[in-house]
Amino acid sequence: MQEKITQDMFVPVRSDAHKQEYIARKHHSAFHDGWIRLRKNKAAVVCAVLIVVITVMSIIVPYTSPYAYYETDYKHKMNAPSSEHIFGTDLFGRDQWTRVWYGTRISLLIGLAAALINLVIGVFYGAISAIAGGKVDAVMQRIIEVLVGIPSLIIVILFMMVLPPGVGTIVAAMAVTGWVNMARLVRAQILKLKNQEFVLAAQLLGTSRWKTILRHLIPNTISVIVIQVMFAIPSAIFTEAFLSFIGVGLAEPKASLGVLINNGYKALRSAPFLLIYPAIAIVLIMVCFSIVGDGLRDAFDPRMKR
Amino acid sequence: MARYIGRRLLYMIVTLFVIVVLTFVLMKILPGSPFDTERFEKLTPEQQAAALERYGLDKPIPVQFLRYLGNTLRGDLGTSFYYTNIPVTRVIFSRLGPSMLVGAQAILVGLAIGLSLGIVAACRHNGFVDNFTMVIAVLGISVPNFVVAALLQYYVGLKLGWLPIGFWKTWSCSVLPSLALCFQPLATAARFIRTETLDVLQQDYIVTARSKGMSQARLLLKHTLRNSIIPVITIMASMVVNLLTGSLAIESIFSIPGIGGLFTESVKNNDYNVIMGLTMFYSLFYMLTILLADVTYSLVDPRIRVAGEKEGE
Amino acid sequence: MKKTLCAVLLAVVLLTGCLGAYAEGDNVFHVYADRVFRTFNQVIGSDSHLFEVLGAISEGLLRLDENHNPQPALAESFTISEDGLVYTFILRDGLVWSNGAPLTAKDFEFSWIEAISDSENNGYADVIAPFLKNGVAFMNGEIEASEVGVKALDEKTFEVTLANPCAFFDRFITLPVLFPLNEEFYKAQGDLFATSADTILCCGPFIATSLDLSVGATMVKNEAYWDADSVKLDGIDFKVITDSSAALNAYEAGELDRVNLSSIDVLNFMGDPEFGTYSDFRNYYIQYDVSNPKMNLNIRKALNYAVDRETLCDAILMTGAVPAGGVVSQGIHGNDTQTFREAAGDFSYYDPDLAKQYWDAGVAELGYTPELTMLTAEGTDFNDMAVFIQDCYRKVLGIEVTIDSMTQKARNEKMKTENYDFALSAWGADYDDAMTWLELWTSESGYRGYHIDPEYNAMVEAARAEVDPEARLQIMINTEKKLIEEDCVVTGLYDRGFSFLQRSYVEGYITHPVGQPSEFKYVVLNK
Repeated sequence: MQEKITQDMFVPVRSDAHKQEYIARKHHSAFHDGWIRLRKNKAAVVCAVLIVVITVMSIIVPYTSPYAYYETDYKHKMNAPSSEHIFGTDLFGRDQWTRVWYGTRISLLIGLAAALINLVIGVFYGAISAIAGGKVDAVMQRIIEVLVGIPSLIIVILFMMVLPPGVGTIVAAMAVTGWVNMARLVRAQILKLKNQEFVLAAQLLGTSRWKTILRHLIPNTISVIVIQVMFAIPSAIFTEAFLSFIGVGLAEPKASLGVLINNGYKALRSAPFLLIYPAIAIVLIMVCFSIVGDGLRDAFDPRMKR
Repeated sequence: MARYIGRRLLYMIVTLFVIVVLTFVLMKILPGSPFDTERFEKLTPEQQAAALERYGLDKPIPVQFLRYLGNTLRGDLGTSFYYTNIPVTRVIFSRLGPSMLVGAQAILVGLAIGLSLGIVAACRHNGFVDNFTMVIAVLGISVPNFVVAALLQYYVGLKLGWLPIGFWKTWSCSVLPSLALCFQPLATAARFIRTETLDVLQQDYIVTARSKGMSQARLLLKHTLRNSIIPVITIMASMVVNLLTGSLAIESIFSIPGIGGLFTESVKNNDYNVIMGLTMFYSLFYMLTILLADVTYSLVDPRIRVAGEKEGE
Repeated sequence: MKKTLCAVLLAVVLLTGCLGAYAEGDNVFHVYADRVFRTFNQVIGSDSHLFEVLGAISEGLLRLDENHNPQPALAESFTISEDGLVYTFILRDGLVWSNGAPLTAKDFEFSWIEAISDSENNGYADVIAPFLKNGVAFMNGEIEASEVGVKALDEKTFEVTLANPCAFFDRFITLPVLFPLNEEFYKAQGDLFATSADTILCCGPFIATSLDLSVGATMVKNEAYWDADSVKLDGIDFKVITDSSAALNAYEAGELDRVNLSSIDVLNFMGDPEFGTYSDFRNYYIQYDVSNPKMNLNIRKALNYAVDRETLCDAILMTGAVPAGGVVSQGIHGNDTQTFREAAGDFSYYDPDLAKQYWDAGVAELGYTPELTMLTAEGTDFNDMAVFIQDCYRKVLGIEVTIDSMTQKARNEKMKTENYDFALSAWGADYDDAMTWLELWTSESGYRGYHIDPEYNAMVEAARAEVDPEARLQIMINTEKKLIEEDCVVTGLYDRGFSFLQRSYVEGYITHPVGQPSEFKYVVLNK
């Protein structure tokens, strides 16, 4: 029984442009994409968790410890680490365990502030300078030279005279010149990038200037930015210590890791534990930040996609 | 290029003038007088006024500035207050040499080791050298140089007795301080060059070059380094200035008569003429280094055209 | 590129060509200063480490022995007139400068006039001038140098006329500012004087072979010195080492024969046979702002009695510092049998109950509990002291004092121009007499707590004019009692101490608590 094949048995396959382009996988933003890649990076995740733990500890320990960070005990001064004082005690018999965590809190705060200053002021200053070019760039670079040229110690001392002593004042004083290297780095990178084809393509497609900066240029400088932030954090922490050293920094009995290291260095011979623990703390923090930073870069740098 | 450099040098004079004006004003707002505080406080108000008058410190700041500017243009930077009556140029130059030698050695050693480590690390990504480099890089920036210096002095200088523990007698005295200082440029160079090289190695033109059978060494030198060295140049520019102008802590630990301590000392003691002399020296040095860096950008990467060039053409 | 690098390196090496020349050999004494030198010119210098160098390369009319008593030096003998006003010094025969020029009484006349003529550069002009007849008038530019009571009668006779009789004048003139100067040489060198070993003349037990402000000084024995036989050293190597750990390392490496220890290192060496301590006449004290309504008398007294000075000295400083009973240091001369402090007793001391009592009374008087801020300057000693005092007030008075630490200049400016609560400060004696402190609080400046008290000033004047030593001592005791116990303008804390290590083969190293801090002339190395 053969049936006759008729015309109406055939329906033309219409090409559906939408269906053709349909992606079964869930849509991810660039940020989400990066997030997924970051989560796959075991080391970065572990370190990120560690940073959180350290931060939480630095907030909790000074409150829960049986000793206050300023509490002195002259009978137990310069004691080596024991079950009573896990990190030992200093010249005033103050518990180092509490002081190291307290110092970590202040140093993290200062490091964070430095990172923010670099990211907010430094990155945009550098980007704008490089993209604007010409006279604007020339003037902006001269401003940097002026800022670097004026001895920063003078600025810091003047800040200390006007503002009340404390972390805020120190951060304010560091904000004046702390971002300069970042600005110069970003500028140099963007100078290198801005004449490359993908920028030209973006501009031809009518991308606005701001969008070019934010979406195309800055993401391509991310590795430099991440590294510079990694350098800016310890440098800010030690700048603060230097200020304390010359008598214009954080007032006793408050302590930062930088100050503890400074004092510990003086005791290197008689009580090395006073140097070792704060030093370990700062190295640990830096290792974690570095690995997380590298992870972030690997995850978000468009050139690192594989 | 010559026109560009010429214009930059012209800018430099203007910038220097702005720096000098601002520093002068800020410096005068600093609390206190340049005289030895303890002794000065003991003088009667009349004697204090007479002392200020003798050095023209009683005049309004603009007058003081014009006088200073006039003297400077005539080549007279004045005398130090702290180092009583010794000419500023003499104070600065007598302490410049040691700092420069120690700093230059630190930079050369740091750059050489840092760049090699960084490049090797990038080629053997996630290998032993890579991890080792990262550890060094993190330690290099998170352990302050005065701690390194103290450890070197105690163990290498005192316990092992291999090198002098300090002072400024022979060249060997400069080894430990240079070593203590070299970790920062080392760490910086290593990290930047590693990351940038990693980036560059994934570019298409490298794959092309490699597939054409180019040797690894030639590939690195000809195609990679040129593209990855930009951030290192940028960051080294300011680091060179900082290291050559000395480090207070290192000089103090190794008893080197350097310039690092002089800056802090002069600001703390309101040694006006020394502050100004050092500021001018430091700024000029910094600006020249930046100019050098900007010129170097376009030399290593012809695609970069530095700011001023475009508008000139 | 490589060529440029080489050129730069070469230039750097050339720049550093001025490497320090050091005295070498076995019989050379190695010491150091913990600060750079500000000058080597005796006329304008007032730093203690400069005095040590000057005491080695130069000499005064008299020199202090190990018991701090003056012995004939460049002066062979001296006589004092009946009224105690005229001192006549006879110089030794054949004294010469290191360039061969004869050293005469003229050289003393010149240097003494120089010492009081340049008041803004010379920290000691205002100290020395009041001792000499017409000294102050000359310093203020009112009269000619010839009218000052300082005269070279002939080559060998030097006559000094005082403004008031002074029992300790013979000890006072061992101050290096009053060492002789060769006028011709001094004027020929101009501003370059004492900037290198070639631009200074020596007449002491040693001759300078190199002088560098930031490196130090080296010296060799002066064979032409009148007492060369007593000098056993071949030379002295006086380095500048600003870092205390570095100094200790240098000692252990055999580069130093003596080293001062910082508090934190003392515990390690306490039982060591090379370990020792001594204290000098530098008093650390609390200065209250008496014009500040918050700081009423009761509050000030409370703050005074609440500081546990014994613990501060023994547990924190550990440098041989001694608790102070007032602003006048413990060892300061009183009369023939007693020191000033022994005669006066303690005016400031630790008494927690008394402190609490005064505090409550003070708070009641104010009607509220004041928030207090302690001004302090940079430096380890001030920092440690501030932490300790803050802790004392927390424990004894139950208050939280804020520490405001800044540079020394900033601290002083704040004290001078603004109101403050209280500040940590210090003063070192210029001479071995209580007056060196007591006269400070007549200035009425903010630096002295805005202390304005005509009665106090009159007492100081009375002590200055008093001829009878015993009566004068009594006036000064009453003056200090008023200043500290009754009015509580300042509170003494401690007298500075030093803990040190010294090689066992070193003998004859003398320390003095005032003026020239140590003496190298008699040092013997029994290696």
